[in-house]
Amino acid sequence: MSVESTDTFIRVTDLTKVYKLDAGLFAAAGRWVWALNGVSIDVRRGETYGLVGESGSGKTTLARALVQLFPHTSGRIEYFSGGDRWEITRSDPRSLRRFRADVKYVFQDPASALDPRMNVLRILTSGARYSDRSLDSARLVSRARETMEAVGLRAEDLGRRPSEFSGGQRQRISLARALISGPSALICDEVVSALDVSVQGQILNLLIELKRKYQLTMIFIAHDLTVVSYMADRIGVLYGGRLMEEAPTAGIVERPLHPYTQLLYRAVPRLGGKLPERGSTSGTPYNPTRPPSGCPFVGRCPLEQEKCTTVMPELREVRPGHRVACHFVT
Amino acid sequence: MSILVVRSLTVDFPSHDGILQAVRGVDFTLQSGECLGIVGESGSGKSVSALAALGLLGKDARVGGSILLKGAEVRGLGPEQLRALRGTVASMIFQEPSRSFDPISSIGKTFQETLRVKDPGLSAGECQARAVRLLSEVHIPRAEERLRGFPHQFSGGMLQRIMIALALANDPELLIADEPTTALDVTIQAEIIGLLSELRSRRRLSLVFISHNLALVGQIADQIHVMYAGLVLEAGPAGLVLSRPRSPYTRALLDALPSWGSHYSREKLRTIAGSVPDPTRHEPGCPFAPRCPLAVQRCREAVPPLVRGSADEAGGDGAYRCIFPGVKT
Amino acid sequence: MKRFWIALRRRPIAFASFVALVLLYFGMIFCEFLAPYGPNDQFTGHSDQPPSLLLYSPTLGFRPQVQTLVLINDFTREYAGLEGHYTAVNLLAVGPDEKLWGLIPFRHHLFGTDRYANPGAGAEPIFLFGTDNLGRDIFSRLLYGSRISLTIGFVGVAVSLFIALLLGGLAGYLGGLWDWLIMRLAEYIILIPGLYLILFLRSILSTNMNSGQSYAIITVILSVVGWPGTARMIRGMVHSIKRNDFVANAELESMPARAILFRHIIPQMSSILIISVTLGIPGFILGETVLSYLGLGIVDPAVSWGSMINRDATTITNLVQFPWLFAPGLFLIIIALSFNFLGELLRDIVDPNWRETRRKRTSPGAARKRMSPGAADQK
Repeated sequence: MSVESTDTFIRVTDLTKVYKLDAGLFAAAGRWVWALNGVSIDVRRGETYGLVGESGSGKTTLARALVQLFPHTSGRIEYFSGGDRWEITRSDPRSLRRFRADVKYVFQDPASALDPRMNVLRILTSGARYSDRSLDSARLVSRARETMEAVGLRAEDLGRRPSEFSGGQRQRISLARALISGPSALICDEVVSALDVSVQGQILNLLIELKRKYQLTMIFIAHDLTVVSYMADRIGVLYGGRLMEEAPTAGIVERPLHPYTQLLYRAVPRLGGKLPERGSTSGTPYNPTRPPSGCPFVGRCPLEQEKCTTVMPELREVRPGHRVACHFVT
Repeated sequence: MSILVVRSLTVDFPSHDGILQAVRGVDFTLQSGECLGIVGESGSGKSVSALAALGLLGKDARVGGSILLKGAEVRGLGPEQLRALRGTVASMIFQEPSRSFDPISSIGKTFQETLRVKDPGLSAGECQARAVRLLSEVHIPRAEERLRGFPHQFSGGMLQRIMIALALANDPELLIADEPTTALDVTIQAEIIGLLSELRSRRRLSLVFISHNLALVGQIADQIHVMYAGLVLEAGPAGLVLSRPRSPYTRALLDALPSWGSHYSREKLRTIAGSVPDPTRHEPGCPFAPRCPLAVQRCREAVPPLVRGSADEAGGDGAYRCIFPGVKT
Repeated sequence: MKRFWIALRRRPIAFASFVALVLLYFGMIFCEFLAPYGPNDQFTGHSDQPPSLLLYSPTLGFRPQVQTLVLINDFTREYAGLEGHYTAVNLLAVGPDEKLWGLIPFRHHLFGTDRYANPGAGAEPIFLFGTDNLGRDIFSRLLYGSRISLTIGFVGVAVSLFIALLLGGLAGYLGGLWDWLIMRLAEYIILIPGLYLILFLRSILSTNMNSGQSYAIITVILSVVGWPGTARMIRGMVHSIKRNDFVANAELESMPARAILFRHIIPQMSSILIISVTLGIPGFILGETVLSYLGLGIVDPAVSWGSMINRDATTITNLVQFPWLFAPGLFLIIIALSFNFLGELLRDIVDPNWRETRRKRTSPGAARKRMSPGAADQK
């Protein structure tokens, strides 16, 4: 059981990211994509926060905006460490560096996340040189060996190249690279989605072990609600760039309140289960270039009414610790 | 009537690394109107088997065994004869819908091309009418408008429905779906599965559904074959395979992912160590032995024979390859 | 490195190319020693002589030797051998005084006849590839000429590649306006037909230059014409490589942009760059040849293979009567092919998917199903 504390570790307030669509000369000019639309989340120290949503929900955008792989359009990201509060933006390189050394991002695709022309030792150590917590090279090498073993690989493999490893092993290398500088948190972006079923479990178990061993805080992102609910202490459900529901895992699993969460829940193929009920299956999927007024789930929601198209429901705490954004959930 | 009968199918790809044995002896029988689910991970040979059934493997593939589609042997057919089969007797849909369309042809034009394979003299108007009917069969509203659109304007789920419509355009009796939902979101996946099931009963369609997701296959298949490294390790009626698996591999697949409602603080996942074997290395013995918790020396010496639960080939009590069937790990 | 030798052993043509290149470059470095005579030493009475090395004669038996030739037809420049008059060819014979690389004086050359040791004895000179119309040994001229022809390839490619990497890399990595500006510039240069551009550039410069200046000018001109093609390719590759997750990861590790470019992005292109370089070298060599052939490059008394072709191999009659004058062309063909084969080999061994145990690359169909352990776990 992870040490639960109510210390906020990362606070996201009203985060919005808008992309301009490159129109080209002949298309309709000035179309925008609202990838994230006013998302507010608190991640507490020591917990695993699960983010679930389908493609286009904004979960990857949120994760990447957290580490500022691109600048967000509006909103605030705050990071609490060593008793201090740091605001994270690209215009403040100092706090960004500190943040990036402490919060590590693990990518989804084992094939493109590792430089194919470097051997594992270089992959693990080349970045460490530039970070805030760099060590001298002898120390780096022994750290590299330790970390390889911590992720279940052998230190002898340090001289090999990524193409000599399987997908699961490459994800382990990615994890080793994240851990080598001793971060306090990991952002795992769909880290098992590209792997075979029989290997996914290994990596999930490894993540849990690493979390315990290194006292990590985790943000775990996936599109599979079953996997997220296994890994997370609290879950946030994203749809159309907005947070639809947020609750401790038990709350989501036992009583999902938001119609979208319920749809997700019903859609998961279960052993011995019948076919998922055909709800509003012919509904229109979310179009991210629509101007963001009203609830993004309009067009697929069984409860929708007139006011849903014009008024965005507020995210309200309807039960202790359980927030829902829907006009009809109280 | 058996619409598809595959016997001792083997597929080899000669490469300069050695012979790559993609499929090493697979049998299945599909009755008309039935759904066969083939489950396996990468390297299991599930897709290659399906491609072989429609003669879609490249020239460098060496196919052995027999494949009878509606009683006629597919192996050895020439390209003209295969073309006559595809789309009219059997059709196939693939994993990435966005990659299966010609990006510069409108949807309507693609339908035209497909419909005219069977009926070259079809007028544009008639093609349009049929396309509209097909699109409404797959629950795509505003069909006429959609026919003027281009593939990049549609979402993955829509494209997959359109693919299904195209596959059914010439009224085939068998539809092979190769991981049709893997690239789609889970809610869309649920819709597509529902759609396939509905089409199956409405059109009396036979279906081969290939996936790596055992639970997903269980929702639609009548019989399930579990493949690993080119061999069928277990086969049988879906309910049986999912509730009382005989092969430790099936058991392991069922256990591999968290069940709904479990949490890491309370239960640890039971995983399978190791990874899928290299298809160019021909180790003797059961392919799953290196990862199997029950493996003994005998398992590594020879591939366990396929044992049938009963003499009935169409499923019945099923079949499995294991010398310790049903043993709990 | 080890992969290099393994690959070489497996590919006989590449191996032969490697040997050929080594020999040619060796010859270039030590040309003063290896050539029996100077490039401009004229032998009166020996003009337009065919290659003269013999291995056997009744007089001297089995040994390298030269028969004395006498001109029988001044008009067609036909020679006939004088019976009984043979001169032995010796190793480490005394020849004209030379300085190796202009620094180390010596007198002995790799091979030669007694001509310089005993001037009065009437020894015949040895012409491995015959002589030109001024009686100059073609073989010696080939060796000295290779100094220019073989090095101009490297220097030219280096300059051109440097410009292309710089501009192409910047365009790809920065994108936006820089990308647009640099690419339009490159396209503009490409638009102009290469040959005319070269001629134009050459013509606006003075025609009276010594060979050193000519060399530099030719290199500059060819680089200016050559960089845009490579730059466009590099720019495209940088654009696509930078989308890889490992580049994003390097950013997250707080690696500065220039380090990312040189440590992560450019190495991914190494196979393309190697091919580009190894194909570019013969291209530059031939470019110089063309310029010299047109009389705009190296001119007499400086010697390069191009200038040799310009002088001697311009008419069919000449070639038919004195076919040995085509020797520089032959060597150019060998150089171009050798760089090609070697370049392919280098490209293959740099590819991270190339395995030492593999025999040769598999066909695409088999490759699709050939799952290296690297792909096995992935869907």
